[in-house]
Amino acid sequence: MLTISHLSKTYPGGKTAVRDLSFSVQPGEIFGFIGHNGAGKSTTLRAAAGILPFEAGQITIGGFDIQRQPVQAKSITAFLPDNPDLYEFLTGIRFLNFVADLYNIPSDLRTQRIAQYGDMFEMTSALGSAISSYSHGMKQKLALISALMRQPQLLILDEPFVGLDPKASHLLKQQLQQLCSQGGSVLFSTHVLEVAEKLCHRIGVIRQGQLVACGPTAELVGTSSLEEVFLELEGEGEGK
Amino acid sequence: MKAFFTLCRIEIIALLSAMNLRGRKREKAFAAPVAALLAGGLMAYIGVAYAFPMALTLIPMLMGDLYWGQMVLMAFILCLSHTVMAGSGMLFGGKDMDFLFALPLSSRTVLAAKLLALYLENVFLTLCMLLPSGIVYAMQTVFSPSLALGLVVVSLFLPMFTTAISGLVGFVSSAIASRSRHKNLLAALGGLVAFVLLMAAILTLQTSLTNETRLLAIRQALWDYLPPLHWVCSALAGQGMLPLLWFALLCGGCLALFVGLLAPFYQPLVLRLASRSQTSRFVMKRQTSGSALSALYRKEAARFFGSPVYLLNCGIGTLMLVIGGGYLAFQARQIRQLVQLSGITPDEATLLLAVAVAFCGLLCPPSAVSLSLEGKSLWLLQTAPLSPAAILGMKALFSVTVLLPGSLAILIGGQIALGLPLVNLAVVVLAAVACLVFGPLLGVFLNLLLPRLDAPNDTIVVKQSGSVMICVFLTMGLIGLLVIAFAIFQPPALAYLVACSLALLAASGGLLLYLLRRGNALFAALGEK
Repeated sequence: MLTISHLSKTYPGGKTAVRDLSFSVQPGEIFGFIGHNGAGKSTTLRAAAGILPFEAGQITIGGFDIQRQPVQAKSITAFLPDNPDLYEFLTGIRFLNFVADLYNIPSDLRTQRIAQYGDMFEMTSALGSAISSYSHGMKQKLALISALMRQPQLLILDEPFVGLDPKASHLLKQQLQQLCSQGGSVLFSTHVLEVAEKLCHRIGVIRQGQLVACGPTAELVGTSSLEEVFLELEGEGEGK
Repeated sequence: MKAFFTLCRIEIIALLSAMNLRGRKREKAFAAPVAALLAGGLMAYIGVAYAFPMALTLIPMLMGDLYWGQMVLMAFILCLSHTVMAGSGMLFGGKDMDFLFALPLSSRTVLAAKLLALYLENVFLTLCMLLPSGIVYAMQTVFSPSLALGLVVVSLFLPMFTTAISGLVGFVSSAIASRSRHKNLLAALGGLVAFVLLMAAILTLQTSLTNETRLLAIRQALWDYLPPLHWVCSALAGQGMLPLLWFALLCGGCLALFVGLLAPFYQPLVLRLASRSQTSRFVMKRQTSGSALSALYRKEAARFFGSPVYLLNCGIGTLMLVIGGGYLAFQARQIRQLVQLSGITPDEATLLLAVAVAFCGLLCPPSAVSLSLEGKSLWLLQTAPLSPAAILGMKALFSVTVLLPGSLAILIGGQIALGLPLVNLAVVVLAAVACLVFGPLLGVFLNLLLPRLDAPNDTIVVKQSGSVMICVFLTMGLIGLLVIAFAIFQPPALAYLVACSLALLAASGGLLLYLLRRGNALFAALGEK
C-alpha cells in the first residue's frame, strides 16, 4: 500500500532530516514508527502525506506516486499531524462536511458515518458548537472522526494517542485494527512503546534520519521488551 | 524592569517576523528594500498630497501654527485609523497569554509589553506624516535645530497618546464582546463605528481647512478646544519650546494612566475572552453534500465573515465603494450640478470614477492574506486531494466576489449621477473588470511569496504581514503614478484609461501564467515553513 524508497530530505537550512530511508507498509498491516525526538519520524510521515517536498527517493501510495500523482494518492489517504490545528471558525459539523465534500463522500454515507463515529467518540452533542470552543482532546477526536469517516486505504498518524483520554485511546486502537481487518493500512509514530508493541504488526526504528531496525514486532522484540530493544539501539547509536 | 525589556525584545522580534524582515536571507533580501521603498513612497505621497498644498496656503498667511495643527491632527488620525481596529487583537489575541500570565510578572508589565507593537507602528506612521511635513515647512521657512528637536519629541510622544486611545478602544470592545455570545459581530460593528467616525473626522477637517475665510475661526476653535495641540503647534512654529515639555508629559501620562488603571482588569478579561462555552446541543440530521470546490469557497467565506479584523480590513474597500455608490445614486442631482459647475467633462468624470474603483477595489484584496490565515491549519489543504491551482483559484475567486458588489454599486451609482455616454460607461466597466482580475491575482502572488503561517492571531497577519503592506502600498503607488502621469502628459482621458486597463489585464495574464507555472512548487514549499 505504501512504499518509501531511498527517501532523503534536507531542509533549506541544510539539516538533513531523513537519509536514504526505505520501507513499505502492506495492506492489512499496522506499522509503528519509533525514534527519539528529531529522529525524522514526522518528516517521513509529512513527506508520505504529500505535505513536505523531498529531493531524493520515491513514495507511492496504492501505486500512485505522491509527487507525480498527488491527487490520486491523497484521495485514498488520511493524515493526522501530532497537533491537529483545525478551522476554529467552523462548527464541528461544518468541518466534517467540509472534509466530506473534499473527499466526495455522498450525503447518506457521510450522515451515517458522522453519526457512527460521533457517537463512538461521544462528540455528537458538541458538533454544533464552534471548534474554537473545543478542548484539545475534543479537537483531536474531531480530527480522528474526519479521518475515519473517509475509510481511507492508508491512515498516517503522527503521535495519535497524545491528548486522548483512555477510552478514546482504546477506541482508536480498535478502529485501527478494524481498518486493517478490512484491508487498509496504518502507519503511525509514537513514543508510547507499549502501544507500539501490542498494536503493530511491524515496527521501524529511526535514528538520525536512518532506519536502524525494521521487522515484525515479534522478531524485533524477541524475548525482551520493545523498550529494551529501543534503548539498546539508542545506546549503540550514542556509542558510535 | 529587566523582565519588561525582555518581553519588549520578544514583541519586537514578533513584529519583524510578521513583516518578513527577520528570517530567511531570501525573504529579507526581498522584503526589507521593498518595505523601505514603500515607507519612502508613503512619505513622498503625504508630502506632495497634503503638506505642500497646506504649506503654500497657510505659511504665507503667517499661519504656520495652523499648518502644524493640520499635520499633527492628520498624523494622529492616520495612526488611529490604522491601529484602532488592531488594539483588541494585539492586546487580547495572543496565543502566548497563558504562558505570560504564568510567569512571575505583573499584569502591568505584560500589558505594557503588548502595547509596544502598537506604539512602534504609531511611531512609524507618525514619522511618515511629520517628516515630509517638516521638510516642506523648512523649505517654506528656514530650518532650525528647534524644529528638528520638536519633530523628534512629537514623533516619540504623540504615538503614546494614540497608543493609549487604540488600547482603550480595544479594551472596551473586548470587554463588551466578552459578555456576548456574538463576540465577532460586536467586534466587527465596534471597529466599523470607530472607522466611520475617523473618516468623518478626516472629511470634516479637510473640508473646513479649504475654506480660507473661516481659517481664523477654525484656528481659534482648535486652540480653545484642544490646548495640547496649541502647545505642540506653537513650538513647531518656532514660538518657544517649553509647551513641548507639557505635551510630552501629557502624552506619556495618558499612556501610563491607561496601563495603570486597566492593568488590574487585563488578566480577567483575557481569561474571559478565552473561556470556552458550547452553546448548542447538536442533533444529527441528514447532511447534504457539495463539490470540493464549493466547500473550499464556503470555507473562505466562513473565515472572512468569522474574523472581524479580516472582514474590516479586507472588506473596507468594497464597503467604501458601496457607500460611495449609494451616495452618488441618492445625491445624483447635486452631483450633476457640481460636475457642470466645475466644468468637468464626461471623459474626466469617467477617469475620476475609474480612479475611485481602482483605489478602493485594489486596497487590500482578501487573497493577499487568506493563505497566511491558513496558518497551522494549512496541512488540511496540503493533504486534500486537490491541486494547488484549485486551492489558490478559490482564494482568488472569493476575493473577486468580495470586490464585486462594491464595483457594481459604484458603477451603478456613478452612472445614475453622471449619466455617462455608453462608450464612457464601457471604458469604466473595462477598468473595473481589470481591477477585479488584477487585485485578487496580485494578492495570491504576494501571499505565496511572503506567507506568514506562524502568526499568533489574525490581527498580526492582516495588519502587519509583508504581503498586505506591499499589496496596499504597491497598488496605491501604482494608481498615484498613473494619475501623476496623466496630469503631466495630458493624454486623451478615455484612450489613457483603456490603455491602463489593458496594461492591467496584461499584467494579470502575466501573474496568472506565473502562478500556473510556479504556483504548485511555491505551494508545496509552504510545507517547509
